[in-house]
Amino acid sequence: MSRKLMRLLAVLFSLALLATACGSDGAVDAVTDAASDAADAVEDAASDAADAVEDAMDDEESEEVGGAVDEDAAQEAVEEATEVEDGGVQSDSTLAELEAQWAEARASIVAEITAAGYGVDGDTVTGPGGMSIDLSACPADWSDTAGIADGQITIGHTTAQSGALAAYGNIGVGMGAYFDYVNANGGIGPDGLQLNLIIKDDAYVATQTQELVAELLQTEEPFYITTLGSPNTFSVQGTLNENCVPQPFSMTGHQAWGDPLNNPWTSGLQMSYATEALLWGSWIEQNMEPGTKVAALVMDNDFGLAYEQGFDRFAEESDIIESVEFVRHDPAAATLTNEITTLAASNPDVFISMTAGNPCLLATQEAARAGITATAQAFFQPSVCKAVSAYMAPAGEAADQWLIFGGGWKDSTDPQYEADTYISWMNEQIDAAGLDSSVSLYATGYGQFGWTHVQALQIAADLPGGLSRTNFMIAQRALRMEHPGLLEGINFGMNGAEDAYLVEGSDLSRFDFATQSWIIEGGIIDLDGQSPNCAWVAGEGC
Amino acid sequence: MQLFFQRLIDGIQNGAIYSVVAIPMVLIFKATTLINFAQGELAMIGAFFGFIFAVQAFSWPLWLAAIAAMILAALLGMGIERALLRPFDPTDHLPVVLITLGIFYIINAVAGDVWNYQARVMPSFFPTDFKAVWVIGGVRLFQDSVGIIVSLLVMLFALYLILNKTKMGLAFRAVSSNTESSRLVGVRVGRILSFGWALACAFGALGAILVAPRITLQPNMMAFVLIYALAAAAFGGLDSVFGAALGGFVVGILNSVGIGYLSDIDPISSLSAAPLISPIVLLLVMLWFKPTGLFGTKTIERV
Repeated sequence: MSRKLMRLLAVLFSLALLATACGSDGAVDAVTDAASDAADAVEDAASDAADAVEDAMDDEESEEVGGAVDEDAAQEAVEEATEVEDGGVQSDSTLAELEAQWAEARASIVAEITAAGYGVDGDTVTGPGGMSIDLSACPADWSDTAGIADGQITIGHTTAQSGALAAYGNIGVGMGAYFDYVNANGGIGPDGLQLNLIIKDDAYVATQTQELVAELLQTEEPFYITTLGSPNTFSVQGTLNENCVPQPFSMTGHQAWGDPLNNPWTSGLQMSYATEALLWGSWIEQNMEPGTKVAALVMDNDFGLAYEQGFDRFAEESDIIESVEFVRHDPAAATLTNEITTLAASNPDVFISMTAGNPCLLATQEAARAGITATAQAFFQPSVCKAVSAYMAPAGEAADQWLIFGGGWKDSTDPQYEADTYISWMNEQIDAAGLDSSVSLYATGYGQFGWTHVQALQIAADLPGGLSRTNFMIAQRALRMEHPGLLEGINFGMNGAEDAYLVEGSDLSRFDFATQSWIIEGGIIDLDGQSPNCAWVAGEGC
Repeated sequence: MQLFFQRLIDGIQNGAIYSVVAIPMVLIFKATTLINFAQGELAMIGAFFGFIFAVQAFSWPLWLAAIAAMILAALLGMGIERALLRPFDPTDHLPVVLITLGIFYIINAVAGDVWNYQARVMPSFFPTDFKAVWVIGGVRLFQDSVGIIVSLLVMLFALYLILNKTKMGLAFRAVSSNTESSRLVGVRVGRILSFGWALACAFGALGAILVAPRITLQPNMMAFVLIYALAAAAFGGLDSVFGAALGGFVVGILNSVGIGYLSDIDPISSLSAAPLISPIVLLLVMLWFKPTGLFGTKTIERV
């Protein structure tokens, strides 16, 4: 073979290699760039958050920031937490009984909506709690039943499946596995509609999310699109709301998703990061002496900065907290040694890790190595690090005695929940689907998000007129059930335009190395209905 | 002062991690005058090979798993060189670099598919418990980091022996020095290139197995390390193994001292890419003032 021909073949082959790499829906984005791209993309959002907090502080009368409960309420809730026995394990009912309870709860929501006459009235969608969505501005070719055809409901999902935060892609995979289970067990509504989840990889890069959502809208036209990541969710919130496409249960704890008046098509699910920051502050106020020094390791993106701003605002008004040292780290950093050395040098009384993903594990190990856990009186993990198999067990003895406001969720990889009906059933299903139940984010997708999507869809399908985007929005804003993945005592529900947050409570737990379990301390804190809406304005905040 | 010494020690400890990736990169550059962007990912997959033998499938002792992983990684390196790189004109750098980028993405995606992105626990040759720390004058020295540094010195010595005391090493140095002349005197250049890739991948795998318990074993473990390793290699001279090892420590120290003291200064503290400043500045300064690096071979061009 001539050398020229060989060369041509080789060039073609290299192109094929690159194409293969690009093939997985945009996996071509440089892995090393992903973190910094994401950081750039969120800079605006982060500075907006900072501005919002500053504005709130300037205004002395304003005691509350949208999306976060006010400080007094947080302190009161920490004091009045309700006790939980046996780590909150629920094993009294069988799964069939649980399913019957869910069906009953859904039927009563359907009955309430129907009795109140909520639905589409001319160009307005009405729902509980003063909910109102104007349809007159929707595009001319907008359809209430788009994405439902041939017995299928097409749902779009953008997430990170490559890049530094690729582990989060597991949530979508877990959710897909739950959808498969639902499809095999009767589907959605009386017609047994099958769920068809289309996952697109945005590598946590907001500009990619925009391209992928535009592509989804033009080609598949899904019933709705759910997004992961705060910068990513922000980047398409405008487009989806203008096009009247639901953006439900966004996989991010930013407080901005609770804005039913201005962005009625968007919603979130988790406890907001701002509320969690206030809970840390409240705990310190009640358990520490004046002159307390706090050190915080912050992931350098909007997620970490939301924590930083929320906590900083609290600390500045606190009589107990003398100083806070924040040190930021890159999401893709290989080690956190340098950052932790700086924090250790401030001799903190309280250490708070405001990070996520694999850095949860690194922070746990390095804080112990630097001697912080030996000298500080308390050290906190963020709620997103509540995963025994992923972050705590691998850290060995360094994980002992860490505290966490865990957002109320039962950790599916915590051995104490092997006796819990729902958690044990879910782990069996995840393994049966060919996934690994020790990967905690699969359970997050399967149990937390998947379950919630399906309940809202089932309610919408049973409403007069059947499954439609508007009925789905009403169902979502009327949702109020006992979530089987949440600890008893944490309320799960929204109420139209009045209460736009599903989860507003948390457990306070301590990790016990000997039993490899979270031990609930001080009971369950619930702040249901106390987070005001957050009308997020770029550059101004809530 | 104690804090300064702690930062210095932190820098040396992290520097060893950068060195173990920079050294294989230099080996490939010596063989092919090519910067292999896939080096970090090749090392990562080598660590996963070790994980298969030591944990996932066989529960072999770590030393045996490491040897098996090095052999497997060497075969992978030879395969890549033979199948993907040799058909190209080695003097035409663009397509070759594109291929190494392609390999980077493929290995990362395959590893993500096979092992997931959740970090795994890699066993270590050294004590990794958080109590395995020597405290000298308030400065904390981690026993596993000392282990990595000693291993690095042993690796350097082994490489010295391979390159200077074996026939294959002699041929490798000849090809590295002048490919055409080597070919003319009968050195089988193709075989030597394969040898270079095999050596680089084997040592890359060993390096990654050493550092994985420290930086967690997961497909993106080398994303950041690669950037520091590049700066380290450029600092020491892209064709100097010793220079790359030293460069790793320089980058590590610059970074730990830089983050510690510069990040309090306002414009720098608000930069999201602050940790990358020191390697990139170092890279720029070296390319500007001494493009061959500290110990690199000077190229002399006759008119």
